Amino acid sequence: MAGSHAGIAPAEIALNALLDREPALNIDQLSVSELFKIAGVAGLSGEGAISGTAPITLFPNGIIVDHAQFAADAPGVLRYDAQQAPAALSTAGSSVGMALQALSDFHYKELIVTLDRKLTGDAELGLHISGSNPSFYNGYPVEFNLNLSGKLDEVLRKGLAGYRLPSIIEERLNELQ
Amino acid sequence: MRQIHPRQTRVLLTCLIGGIAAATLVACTPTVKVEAPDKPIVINLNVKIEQEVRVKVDRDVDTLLQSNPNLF
Repeated sequence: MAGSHAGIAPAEIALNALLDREPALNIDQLSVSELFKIAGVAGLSGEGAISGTAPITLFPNGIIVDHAQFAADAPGVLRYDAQQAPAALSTAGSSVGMALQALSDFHYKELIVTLDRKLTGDAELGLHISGSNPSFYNGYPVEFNLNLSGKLDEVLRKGLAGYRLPSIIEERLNELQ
Repeated sequence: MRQIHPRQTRVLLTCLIGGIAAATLVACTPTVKVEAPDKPIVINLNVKIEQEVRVKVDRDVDTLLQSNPNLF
């Protein structure tokens, strides 16, 4: 990834036993734009860079992430196109609509991403941003806290799109109509 | 001792009441300040993703339908 650096410290991994020391994944100047591309959330883009550390523990059957925290090095921009938001979000009510409006062109002063993952796969991803959107209440300061919980890596692997109704059921339903 | 004429008394009372009213007005001069609150708008969103259970059920249905095509 252009301009960024990721490394594991200490770089000593015992494959046949649990690790004596917990390694940490250090990320330095990771481009927000690249990060959002990897996340694969349609309509999400940004400018800026984040750095931080993810303390990880490796187990044969999975990985534990304990209070990983990444923060923006300098102010940047985050944009989320509400037109590309999943139906569950765009129809979730006025407060979510307000959030989507604020995020359409959000100039952040502070951006913090936190991540925790248990061995069971249950994870919590937090996004805290503070700043303003010039076209949202005349650039009034906004603080946005998003907390995602669930088996997030599994969801990312399988894609965010919902599983399609089996075609055979669809065909039978159409026959009934 | 000089006697106060009832008319003078009225004038004095009027002045006194006027004085009190003026003092009250000064004391109650309303101040309207329009200031934006210094606290930002806070938006909190908590999203719990429970995709796995639905996918499993859907896949089970898929398998069931493949083994029993005439179920529906």
